[in-house]
Amino acid sequence: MTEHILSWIIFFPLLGFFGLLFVPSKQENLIKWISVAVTLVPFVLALNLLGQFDSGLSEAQFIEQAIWIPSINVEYHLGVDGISILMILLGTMLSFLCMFASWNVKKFVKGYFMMFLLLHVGMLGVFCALDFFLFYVFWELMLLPMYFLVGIWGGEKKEYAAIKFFLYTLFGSVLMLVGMLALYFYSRDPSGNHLATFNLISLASQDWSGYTVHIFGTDLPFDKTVWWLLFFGFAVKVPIFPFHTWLPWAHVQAPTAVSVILAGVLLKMGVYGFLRVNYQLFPQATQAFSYILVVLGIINIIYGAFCAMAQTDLKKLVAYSSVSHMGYCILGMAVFTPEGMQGAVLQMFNHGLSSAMMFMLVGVLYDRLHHRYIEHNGELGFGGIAQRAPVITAVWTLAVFASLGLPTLNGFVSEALVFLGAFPVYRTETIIAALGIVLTAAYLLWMVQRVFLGPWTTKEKDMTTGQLVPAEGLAPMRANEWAVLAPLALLCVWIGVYPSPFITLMKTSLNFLVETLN
Amino acid sequence: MRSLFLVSPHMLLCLGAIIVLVGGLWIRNKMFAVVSSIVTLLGAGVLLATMVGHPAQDAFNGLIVFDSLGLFFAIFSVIVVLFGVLLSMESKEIYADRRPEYFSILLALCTGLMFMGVSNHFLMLYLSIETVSILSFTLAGFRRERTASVEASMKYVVYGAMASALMVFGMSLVYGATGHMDLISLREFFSSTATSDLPNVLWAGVILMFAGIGYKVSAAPMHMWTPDVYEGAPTPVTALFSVAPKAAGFALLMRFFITGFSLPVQEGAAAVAQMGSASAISFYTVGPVAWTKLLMISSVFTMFMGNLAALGQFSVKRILAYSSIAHAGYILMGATTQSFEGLTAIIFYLVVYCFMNFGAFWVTSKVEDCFGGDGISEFRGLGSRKPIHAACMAIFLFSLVGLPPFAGFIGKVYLFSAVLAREMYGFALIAALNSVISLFYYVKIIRAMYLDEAEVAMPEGKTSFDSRVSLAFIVLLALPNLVLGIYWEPVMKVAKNALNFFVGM
Repeated sequence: MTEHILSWIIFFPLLGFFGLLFVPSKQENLIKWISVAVTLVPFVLALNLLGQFDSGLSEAQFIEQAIWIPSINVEYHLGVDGISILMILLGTMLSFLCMFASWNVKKFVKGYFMMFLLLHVGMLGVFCALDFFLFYVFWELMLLPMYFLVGIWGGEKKEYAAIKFFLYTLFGSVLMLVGMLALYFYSRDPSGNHLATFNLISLASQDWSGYTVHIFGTDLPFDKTVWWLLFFGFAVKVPIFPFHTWLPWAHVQAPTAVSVILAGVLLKMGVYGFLRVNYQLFPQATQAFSYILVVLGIINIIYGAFCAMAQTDLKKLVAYSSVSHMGYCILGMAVFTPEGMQGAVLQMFNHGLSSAMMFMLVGVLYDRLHHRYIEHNGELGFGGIAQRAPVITAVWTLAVFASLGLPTLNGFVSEALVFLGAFPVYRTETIIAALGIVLTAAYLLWMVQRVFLGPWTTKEKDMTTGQLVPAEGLAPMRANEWAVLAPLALLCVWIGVYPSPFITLMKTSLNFLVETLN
Repeated sequence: MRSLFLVSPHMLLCLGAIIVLVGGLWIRNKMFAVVSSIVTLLGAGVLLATMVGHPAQDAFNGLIVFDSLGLFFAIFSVIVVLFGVLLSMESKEIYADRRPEYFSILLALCTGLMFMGVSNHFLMLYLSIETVSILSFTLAGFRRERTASVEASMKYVVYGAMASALMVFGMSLVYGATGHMDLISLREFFSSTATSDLPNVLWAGVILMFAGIGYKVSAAPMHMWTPDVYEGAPTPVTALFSVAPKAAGFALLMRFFITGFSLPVQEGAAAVAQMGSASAISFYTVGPVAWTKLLMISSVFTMFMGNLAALGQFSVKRILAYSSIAHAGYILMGATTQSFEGLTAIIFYLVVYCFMNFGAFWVTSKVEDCFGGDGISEFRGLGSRKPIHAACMAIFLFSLVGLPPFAGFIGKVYLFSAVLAREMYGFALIAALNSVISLFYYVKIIRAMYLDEAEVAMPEGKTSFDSRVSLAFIVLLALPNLVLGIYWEPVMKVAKNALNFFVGM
């Protein structure tokens, strides 16, 4: 297993997928435990990978390379470097934890877990692929299970949310496909012969300036045009304003575990794609457009925060907070300083932890009260939860503080790094972006005030009449909920107090990337 | 004699058609027509297989040419018609007492399709298209007690007559301007005559001839008949129409434009190094007609027409009809490139398209047989009622969208890359955006199957879904969609071999 460790990480869930085909669908507990086991293996392997990972190297490690389709030089090429190692850890961990978060799925249990395992394959594949074609296949592979997970197991407007997610992402990816094929045709070896490759490492070693492409009657520089084609593919996923409108729908309508994966892992793929493809292939074009990224990052931070503040649906608030938090990643990676870059990658990991916790906690409240209204028809939907459910409130508060960047919790470290990196380069812009922290604190604390503090006004939705009626109290947290939240909470504290092991992992690769960019 | 030997598979099929028709008068066994059709088709397939690998030969004084391309499409037609026979056998829409006529027409149709792929002369071109058309009119109206079916047949006749008239007129113009009806001599004439000496009426001639061919592949603006005919015809016939005549039409189109109106550029060693492979053959247009522009415009219109019109449809057969129009648009992209890559991409795509489209129609046929309708509402809840059928349908549809890891994606990648290799970025972008539009209507069916609750009650007793043969074939058609999406090298090799001895080269 250690020889092809990445292949095992990616494809082990696929074995589970086919295994589940032969399990009778009535055996729900068996299906759940098989899924837990099947996702535990990649997680353990990822921890093992972390142990063997040499953080002193900037290039990819654990390389697996084989020819897949000889006629067009498509390779099965996997590898891990400092940018992807944390994402692999995050992806395997969250998938494993999400199995517990899915424990009370009622409908088509077998189909649900099979789709989840398929999603796992696509997710991890994207983070490991070093061949653009392979990357694209994994990238698209995620769409199908995600569509069904949102569309079948989602909330009231699930159909709309699912198709919106699907269409937006496919729009981005077909542009990426055209860009990918253009790269293939322009790839040259150092002596100028056509290389015809999708290998991201050889593509990255090529100088793309100097070519021109002819689109709709105008000559455009090759590198910048392809940069934009790829940009759309990744920007939809991040999501960068104005491509973010699918996100509130998908996050709100998706079942809890799927929201966790969406916010925790899928959004990171956009940022990861920028770092892996746009940044490494086109450092010059990236330089040229960096200011646009800075501005878009700031819009994401501020706009997302304002949107979150206006929400009366708790889950939508958390969804918009994701838009805002991803803005820090964009800002951090657009300034080309080591601190900014480290902040961006760490923010990806941190947001994966804190947003996963928040979505999980929204699910905790929803399971007990069957609604998510912070306010409904002028009345508070929750209120005073701290009095009758102090434990839930405590975990919620931890997640909120982690998210708003309280020192000693993880969010602080990455946001501080981003601002530290950004300030020397763009002073005014950084000051504007820093306002986002105040806004984040504002909408999160206001939410805490309305939901957890004050007198007990919490209502639950009567399942027969659909009306909100006063609730008695809240059941304590169940074991499966603890299983998800406890490890995440621990990691939040760990990174907040002692982040350097995590930063060491990515430092060499990112420093190398920053050098090529400057 | 040699010519007769070359058309022996065709003659075998004609013989089979007569035996099925005449024998059916006496032999009342329900399976007689089916079994003898299958045997005839297999026999023709074996005969064709013995010809694989031979260099090109012409027959009947150049009326037809037997080259690898023609042979490939002949085998392709036999296989598709074989699928058609199997699907028809399983369908309730083809009544048992009309089986001999029906299967005899299918065999004759196969002969026509095989001739379409090998015609090298205007006369054969016209005759083969007419053979296929007239048989298709009959097949479309085969459920004569149903108004829609008769209407479909009537519309098909009117459009078909119009298209052939235009085509013949176009031929007369081209012949009048050049004095040649043979595609190879046409090309030689063009390459030896200065373009300025040629009359502009050739433009009109080529455009009119393209109308005739475009009608067969349902390219805009000759696509109008498609939705009505596809909806009205019995579903097995629609399945056949959506693949076989279209593929044969593309064979004819490739031969017509590449053999008749282009010459290969044998690029120098430097160019081969640039393109990275020895198959860097491309063509340049001879004669005054910029037909690639014509095809490009038609391709863009076809894509948009098909995809946009499909958005508002509620009948699955109509959705698939418009989708087949859109796919004709994608495939036309390959022809506009005038390159080896483009032509291989067309062939590869047609193979993949056969599996995905035929499969989708097969499932639709089962649904129609069971519920008596082919609307979205009949598909509601299929996911939980008939999980295997629904899963295969989902595979076919996702493959049609062109999502990895399904075969349709690889087909699109080859088409797009052929276009991009020719630096036609705008064209590729338009096609890419079109596949996003197409997602919406394909997903409508998937959504009905998986996300919606069942609406129409399941009939009591045995239903068409219980047929094991059908289930086996649906799964058999779904498998290539998965396998070819992950490993497609063998099919690519077949596609390249099909062009090995292409006379146009």
